[in-house]
Amino acid sequence: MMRILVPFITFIGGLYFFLEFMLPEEVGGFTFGYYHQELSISLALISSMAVGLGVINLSYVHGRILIRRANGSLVSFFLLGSFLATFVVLSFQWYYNEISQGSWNSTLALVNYTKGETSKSDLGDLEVGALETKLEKNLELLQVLKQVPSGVDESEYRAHIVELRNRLSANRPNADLASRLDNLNKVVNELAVFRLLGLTQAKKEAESTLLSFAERLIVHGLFFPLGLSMFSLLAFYIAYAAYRSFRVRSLEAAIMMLAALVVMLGQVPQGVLYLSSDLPMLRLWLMEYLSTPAFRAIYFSSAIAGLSLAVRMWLSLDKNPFSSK
Amino acid sequence: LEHSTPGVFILIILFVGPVLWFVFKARRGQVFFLRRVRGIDEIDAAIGRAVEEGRPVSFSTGTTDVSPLLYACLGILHYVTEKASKLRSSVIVPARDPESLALIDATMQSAYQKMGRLAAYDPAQVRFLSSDQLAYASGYQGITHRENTGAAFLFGSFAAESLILAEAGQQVGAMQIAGTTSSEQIPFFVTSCDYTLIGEELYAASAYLTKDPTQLGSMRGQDIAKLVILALIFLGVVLESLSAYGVIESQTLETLMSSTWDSLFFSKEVPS
Repeated sequence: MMRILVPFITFIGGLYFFLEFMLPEEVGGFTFGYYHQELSISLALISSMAVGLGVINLSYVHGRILIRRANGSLVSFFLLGSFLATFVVLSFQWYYNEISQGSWNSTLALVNYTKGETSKSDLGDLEVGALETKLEKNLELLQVLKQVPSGVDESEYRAHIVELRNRLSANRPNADLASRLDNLNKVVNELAVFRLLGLTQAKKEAESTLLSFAERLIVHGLFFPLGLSMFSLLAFYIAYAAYRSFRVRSLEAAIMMLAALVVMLGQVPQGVLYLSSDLPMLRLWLMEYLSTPAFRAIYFSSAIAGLSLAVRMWLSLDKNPFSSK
Repeated sequence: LEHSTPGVFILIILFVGPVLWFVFKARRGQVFFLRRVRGIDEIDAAIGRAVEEGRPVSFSTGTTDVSPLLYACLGILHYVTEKASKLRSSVIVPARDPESLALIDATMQSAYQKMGRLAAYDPAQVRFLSSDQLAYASGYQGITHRENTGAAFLFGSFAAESLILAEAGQQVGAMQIAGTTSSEQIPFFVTSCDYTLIGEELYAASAYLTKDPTQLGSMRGQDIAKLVILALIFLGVVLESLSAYGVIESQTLETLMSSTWDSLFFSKEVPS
């Protein structure tokens, strides 16, 4: 059954993406791209699930070493320990940020909705009146919220909302349409600014916590410097590898060394290394007329090989490397 | 969303057509010649040397994610694992991509199963290190030094970590064979590895090792596709030269390639 099912699904999947790329977006009323986003999301979901495989493998390999106290158990201990610490700290940090942002969600929704409505061009007396009533009711709801959003003092928050409500209702009677709209916009803009100030304050408070310190220590104090240290090793390795390969022991090595010398000197024609004004031109000639065609030939052949392998996979022509048959 | 043009469609037919034709012919029994590639020949020697010294073999697919390239690498991994398991040696595969990890695991299991030694397969031979490029390089270096690998195979696409990986093998005196389509990394492998497969040779390795008729036929088809590219380059030169002398309109080929389906089949005449 699997022998038929897997090639069949592979073929159908490949056919969809092939046609989706080849044909125009709409053919005879059928839009190929319609399902594209849904399909892409499902593929992304599969990829996300695969991350779990990595974690399982990591835990299995190093957990086993640790339990058996085998060679390298100290390395495994540090690896699993730092993995757990990073996971816990970053998860809590993420949760804290979500709580902080989430507490202002209703305010943000109200601001976005009102701004969207006031930007419409055909607003009459009735529509503006309805908007004012809606905003006033929502402000009333915000005012009596049990849990005030993060980053603001409870009394300050409630007082500010009351002030905004008062300002909204004070302008309503006897005012012309333009000034009522202007007032509406001012109130929502102030609400938006109030939210941003609250979030900034919440962020400041969060940064002073132990959790934030741990996050900065792990990410900025350890992860980035360790990565950069590994990257800096490259400088030494390049020098060492260049020394090995530029020892002139054959005609090929001599030609390579000569070309490298010209390219290097042509790259830095200033200062003490300024030997001839022709060097940069010679370097450019070597790079454009010798190196580029060679690289293009590699690109072309790799692309053709990749394409033919993709077609073989699509049509399930190859022997499956996962099969023992 | 990006969409192809009829020109690209015709090109794909021109490239894929010969491949399918020669695959068909190879499956019908026609034998195709494949030139010797020294780096692939030496895979057996590298495994043999590691076995003689009682050291394990390592295989890295670098930054390759799930793609045709990974599929090509898995073909080589299957062969390397088969040989190593036959000679009672072990293959360590440090993985960078969680999705590839599952495929690598399945490939190694199938190779052990094929040799009738499934019980000897240890899932800990495939080790997920990190998706981060430099953390992966650091982990690979650690494994190479701790396990004292006797042979290292670096096949796939690589980025800045290529030299770190290759130098790790160089430091422990491992025999190293690399193969990559990442052209910027080729010089690093050439200087640090014993043998380097360049570009298409990596895709050819599986066909070379397994002598699978489908893959051999595909190789011949790819040669024809390259001839098509050569012909197109020549045609481009001729057309450009003719347009330079004013014989034809300039950018004829470009206009031909960029014409859309709409302009050819679906567009309506605009009344003047």
